[in-house]
Order: sequence, then structure tokens, then C-alpha cells
Amino acid sequence: MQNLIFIILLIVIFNGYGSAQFVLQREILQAKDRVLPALVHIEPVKEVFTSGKKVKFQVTGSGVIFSPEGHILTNNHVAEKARLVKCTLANKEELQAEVIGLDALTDLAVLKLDLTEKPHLELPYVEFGDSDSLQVGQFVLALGSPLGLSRSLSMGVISSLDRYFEDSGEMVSPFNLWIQTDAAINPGNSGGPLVDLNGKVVGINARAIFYGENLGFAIPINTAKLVVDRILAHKQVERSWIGIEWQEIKEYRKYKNLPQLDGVLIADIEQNSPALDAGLKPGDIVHSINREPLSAVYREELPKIRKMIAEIPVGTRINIEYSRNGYRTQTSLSTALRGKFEGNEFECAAWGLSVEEITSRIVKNLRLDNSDGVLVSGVRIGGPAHEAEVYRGYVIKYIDNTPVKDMDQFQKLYEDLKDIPEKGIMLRMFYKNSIRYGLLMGE
Amino acid sequence: MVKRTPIAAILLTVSLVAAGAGNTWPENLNRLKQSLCLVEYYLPQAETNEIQDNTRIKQKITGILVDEAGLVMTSDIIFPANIDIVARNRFYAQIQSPPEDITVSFEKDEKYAATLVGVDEDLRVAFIRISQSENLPEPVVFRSDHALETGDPVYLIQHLNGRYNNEVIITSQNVNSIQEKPWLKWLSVGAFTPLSAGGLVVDPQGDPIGVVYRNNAMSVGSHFDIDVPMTSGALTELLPAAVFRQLLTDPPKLELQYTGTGKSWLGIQMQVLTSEMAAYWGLDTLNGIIIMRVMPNSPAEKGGLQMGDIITSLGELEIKGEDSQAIEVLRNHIRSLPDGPVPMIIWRDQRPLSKTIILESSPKSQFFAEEYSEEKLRFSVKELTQDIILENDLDFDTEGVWVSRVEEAGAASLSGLVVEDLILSIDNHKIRNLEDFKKEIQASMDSDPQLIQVFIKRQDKTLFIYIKPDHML
Repeated sequence: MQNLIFIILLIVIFNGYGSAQFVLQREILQAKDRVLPALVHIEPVKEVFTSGKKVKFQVTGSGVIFSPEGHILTNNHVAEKARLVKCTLANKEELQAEVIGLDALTDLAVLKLDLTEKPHLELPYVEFGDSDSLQVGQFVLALGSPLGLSRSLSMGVISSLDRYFEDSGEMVSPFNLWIQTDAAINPGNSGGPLVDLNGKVVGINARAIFYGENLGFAIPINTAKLVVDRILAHKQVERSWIGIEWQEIKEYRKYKNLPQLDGVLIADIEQNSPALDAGLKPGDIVHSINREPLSAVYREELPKIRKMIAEIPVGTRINIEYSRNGYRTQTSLSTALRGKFEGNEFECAAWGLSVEEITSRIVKNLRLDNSDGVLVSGVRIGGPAHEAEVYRGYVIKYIDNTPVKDMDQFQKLYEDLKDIPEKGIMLRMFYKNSIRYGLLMGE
Repeated sequence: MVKRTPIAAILLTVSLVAAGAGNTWPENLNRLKQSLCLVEYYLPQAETNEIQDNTRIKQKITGILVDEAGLVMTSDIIFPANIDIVARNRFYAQIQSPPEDITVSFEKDEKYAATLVGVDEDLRVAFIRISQSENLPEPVVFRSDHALETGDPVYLIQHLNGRYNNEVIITSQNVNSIQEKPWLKWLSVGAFTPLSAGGLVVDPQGDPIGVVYRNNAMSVGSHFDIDVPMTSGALTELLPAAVFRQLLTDPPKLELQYTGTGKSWLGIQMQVLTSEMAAYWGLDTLNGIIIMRVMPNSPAEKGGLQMGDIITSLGELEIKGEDSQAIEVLRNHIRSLPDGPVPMIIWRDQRPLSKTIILESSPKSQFFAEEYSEEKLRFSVKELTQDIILENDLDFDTEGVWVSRVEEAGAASLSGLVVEDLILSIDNHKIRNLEDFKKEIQASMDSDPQLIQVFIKRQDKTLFIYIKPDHML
């Protein structure tokens, strides 16, 4: 009798285990079937400037079709600087795509498949899920082309939902926290979808830590939804900027012994910014904007504050309530348009150098007084600029005696002057309180 | 057996000839050899993750006794620091304390204690003084009128490295090339790697005429080897006595209360005017140096020099040539002049302009800036010297102190402070200099705070750091 019970129990347990496993397997396959047909293997040919020369190279990334018209969502770092984008669909069909819009600040891009030759092609496409309702521990699938191996799927769980990364050089993510997953993510997965077991896209895979194991990071799809809408409507994402670097108040609360304090600390204020003009200072605590309370006790709460300001329509007058030395007061300012993340580059082949537009980011990083001139971004070895000891990082402000205001003017002057006359062309360049002359002589 | 005898006889003859050759070395060489000394010292290892240097490394270099009162001339690697901001020989050296427990020994085993006198950062020689002058060998008396030519023979008296027990080695070499600028140097193709620079150069008559200046392997065993000069292969540089003669009677003095190195500065960065540039500006035959940058509060700024001005003469010196050595020549000329007025001719807007600039002593570098350690918070700061402003491309009007050391896992480190942070305020009180820092940090610590608010600049951003004094577990 005892033996019989044991056997029955074993069968029940075994069956229960077997059915749970079966359900999971079925869900994985169903989710895969919903997304895999819309997966795209992307091979953009990029054009970049290196050592003063324009060079081309091909990279591999991933993307996913999200509209019947053939719109693809991928990473900015996959699609930026692409002159030509070759896409291979899941059914191995090859098509070209056009870059519709890029957004470096969220590392997202929207492409559109060129269907002129196949107007009746019926495209599979995915649905976006809701990344705000995700839970740590939930199963997720990552699809894409790791190391170029197209149509690959890996599985894992969500390891964390509030991973915060400081900006570092070109790697920025001011407006979002990251979904961390242990699903294998490798180079080439970039731009591919992270999918829940309902087959809905909940994130766009974008980063991994390679000396760690199974540490992949995806941009939450709710961040992407807004970017997609803006790009589809305006081909770009315009954001408001007021020039404040924010800091969480966790330590400030302890320092002031105000454990209930709400607000966010101003850590830095940029030059020539609306915040500076409005009289705000580092050390001020901002409590609300247009009466909407703001607070960041922990740094993971900073992205939502930056996002809130960025989404205010550019040029809106806003009221800021803040406290300084314990006294509450307020000020108002009009938000400005956030400048381009990356400026255009231009190759001056005849002079042996490339130059870059001076964006507000360059003004800030190089602490320039203004955006006059163009930045030397590269010098070709052995060319006239190299001979004249022109170095990367200098700002060209005069060509002969003509002041250079911006890239457009520089390009015009270059077109007029590119054949170097016998006496040479004098570039007057500046770098942090110093001047340098570079006399370009013909080869 | 019979056949082997002649071979043995020949071998015997050869060794007799060799021994005979040894006897022909001038007696002077053996006498001069006795003035060569082995300088031993301990160099504290600069650590930025401790608030004081806790380890030190024993090193040995070659020195020469140059006067009866125990003055020894040696290589500047004994103190690898930039003392004034214009002498930028060591780009990577950070904090460096002077050498400790210096001893000197001659051929006899006895060791004499010595102290550092000073360093000439341009000639890259250092002086130490033995604390007693009895029983010392004869000092070397240099001949400084001996002009060598390419091909002339010389003897070098140096030390071998530790593997050979630092024995004295005398080699016969030739001057293979002569360099005139920025000062005279004889170059010789060296045959081996001696212990260090600082050996003696002797002419065939047995007269000492210079020192071994630099050679390609200054491997005094540590990461201070950034001293390795820019020569290629086994080239040895020899410095004629005429170049350093004056230092023997008036050696440079290193004073921890910095009063200047006695070298002047103008406070500019320079670019050479090429003949093409001169032609472009219609200044056809002009030789000059373009001023790229004018340092704040420098003699150049006070005298109204501007970026873009072209210097064509300064004092007695007329700028000649259009290679980078023209900059070195001008720089060394300025450094050799005494403080005080010097006439200059500059070109501005294609016209000459006469100026008189009052030269000043070159400002001190971070090495000589006072360091202040906060013992409880476990970090140190230094006042902001011009070399730090330049290296970090800070705005010229930046005020504050910079964090020079942060002890690992100390209170400051645990609160997130890192080396090279610039401290701008403490508890909302502005910090302009080291005095402000001492006062404010003291005031803050006296109030027994839970947290201290430190406003810092890190790279291009400012932020607040909250240091918890009792962060220690």
C-alpha cells in the first residue's frame, strides 16, 4: 500500500513538473513565433572621419519591424553615420532601408524599409508591451545577431529594473534607467528586441558588460515609444534644455538633518544657460516646476526629472520653486532647445584635415566662450595641415583674415580657397587661452 | 706534446702585452678615480592612496667630489621632481619628496652622511654635501678651456652596475658628434650601460674636462625611469665643464620655503615663426617666436605682451633660425637672465614695437606647493599652482585647492572624494587657497559634524560630496 502511494505521488509530482515545463516551453515558442518573423539583421555601411580622412566600414546590428509600412526600431549606435543600410529579414529577404531619425540621447533610431520594388510585400511586425509593468525575475527572450550570427534567440530573466548608468563620453542615457537581463547579449545584439513571454517587445538590447557574465542591458520600451512617436512625426526628437546638472538629495537630507525633505539638488549650471540667467546656483534645492513637485532622494530618480524637463515644449516659460540657505523662493525661465548631440563633420581633402561643427556639447566640454569657428577633428598624416602642425582639438576661427562663424561659412570659404595659393593659407586656431598659426602650403 | 709548446708560448706573449698596455694608463686616471663616489640614498615612493609616503627605495648613483668642503656633483635623478613650473622635464611625476638618508662612499669602504644641496633642472645635475670634510680625497679640478672636436679621444670614469658590485670602470671612447644647442654637448657612442649618469670625462692628457651627462640607460630601478633621455641606441651625452663651471662655486639651493630657483620666467608658450609664415605676413627676412599663450600674472602679461605677438629679440639675444631649437635657445636665455628689466622687440600687426619686461623668478610647481593632510578624514590637498592649472586646462582664474592624496578606504575615499578633485567650497564657505581650506576644514571638524559638505569640480562638472568623519567602521 505504502509503495502504491509513493508511486502515485511520484507520478503526480513528475507530471506536475512535466506540465509546468511544457507550459513554459510552449510560451517560449509562442513568444518566439510572434517576434522572430519581424526580426531584422542590419548591416549599415558607415562613413566616419578618421585622421582627417573619410573612411567607410560595415557593422552588424539588429532591429525589429514595428509597423506594416516597414518601420524598424534599432539603436542609434547601429544606424548613426550610415550611408547605406542593408537589412535581411527573418525569411532571408534582403532590402535596403532609409534612416528616418536618430536620437543619440536614448541610443534609439528609426529606419524604414525601402519597398518600392516590392510594394505588396506583407511585412510581419511586433507589438510593443509595457515596460513599466515588468518584474524582476520575469522570463525574457533576447533576439538578434550576436557577433553577426543572425536570427539567434537567448533566454533569461530580468535581473534588475532600475539600473542607473552615469553618462560617460559618448555612452549616455540621461532619460532612462536600464533593464538588466541575464539573457546572453553580445555585440551584434544591439538594436534587437527583448521580449516577454506574451511575445511583446519590452526593451531594446543595447549594452553588455563583457568582462562580466550575462550582464546585458536593454532600453525600456516605454522610453522608446515616445522617441518613435517624435521621430515618425518630426524625424527628430526636440527637447527642452535649461542647463542644470542634478544631484540626488540622499546625503543632503542627512547633512541638513531634514529626513523628510523633498526636492533635487543643483550640482552644476552650464554657461550661457537659462538656469544661469534665472539666477539659480549649485547648492539650490528645487522643489517644483510649474507646481509639479520634483524629488530625487536616490540617483535612480534623476532620469525621470531630466525627462520631465526635456518633454516640456521648447520655449515654454516655467516657474521653478527652490530653496537657498533654507529660504524658499521662486524664479522663472524659458526653456531653450537642447543642442545637437553630435555635429556634422566635413572633410577638407585638399587641406588634409576634417572639421566638426561646434555643438553646445563641444562648447561645454571644451569650455569654449561661444560656438564660433569649427573644430579640427582629424589631420591626415603627410597632408598640408599635418605639415603646418595643425592639431586635432584646435578651433579654427579665421581663414586668412576672414572670421569663420560656423560650418556653413567654413565650407564656402573652403570651396573658394581649396587650391592653396603660393603664399599659403593661414589658419588661425585657438585652444584654451592659446593661439596657434597653421600655414597650409601647396603639395 | 711537442707541437703544443709554441701555442702556449704565443698565449703567454699575448697576455704580457695586455698587461703591459694596462701600465700605460695615465697615472692621473687612477688618481681621479679616487674622487669618484658612490651616492646611496632612499627615495620615498610617491603614493596618492596614502596620506604619507610609507615605502622608500634604496638607490645608488655616481657622484664626483668637486670641492674640499665635501661638495659632490651628481645626476638630478636623485630628486625626480619639477621644482619650478617652467622646467617640465618629468611629465608624469606627481608628488615627490626629497631623497632621505644620503650617504657617500669613495674607494675606501667608509660611508659619509650627506644632504641634498640643490638641483639644476636645465642642466639636470644635482649637488649634495658631505657633512664632514676630513679625510676626503682630492676634489676634481676641471679644465673648462678644452674644446674637443669630433674624433677626439676621451676617457670615461664611471661605476658599473650592481651586478659588478659597482666597481669603477675606465673606458676609452671618442667624441663622435658635437651638439651646440641649447648648450654644448659632446656625443659618444657608448659601449656599455653604467650605473648612472654623473661619471667623469677625462682628456688624453689626464685632465678632467666634463661629466657624463645622460646616457641611454638611466635604469636606477624604478618607475622614475621617465628620465631616460630621448637619444637613440647607445649614445652617451657628455657635458663640458665650461657649461656647469659656475655651479661648482655657486651650486643651486633647494629651500623648502620656496623663494624661487633663481631662474627667470616670462610666462609664455611659443611657436616658431617659419620663413613661409614670415613671407605670408610680408616680413620676409624676419626670424622670431610667436607667443601662443600668455600666462596669468606673468611678467609677459604685466608687460602687455599678447597672444600672436612675435618676439624677435630679448636682451642680447636675437632670434635666429626657424627650428624648434630656437624656442629652446630663447627659453634658456630667459632662464639665465637675472630678475629685473629686459628690453624686447616684438612685432605686432606687422610693425616692430619696443617693450621692457620685468622678468621675475619662475613660480613654484606642485612639488613645492605646501601639502596639508586632514588626519581624520584621511586626505591631503595642495594649493593650486600654475602647472596644475596648465596640465588640467583649468581656467586661468580658477581658485581652490586640489586633492593630492586620498587614503584608500579612509573617510574621504568612502565618501567618494578622489585625487585631482578641485575643492571649491566647504559647508558653503568658498575655498580660494590653502589657508581658506585649513580654516574651514578646522571649523567644520570643530563642530563635530555628522557630514561635511564639500563642493568640488571633477573634470568638467561640479558636484557635492558629503564626507562622513566617522565613516570608519
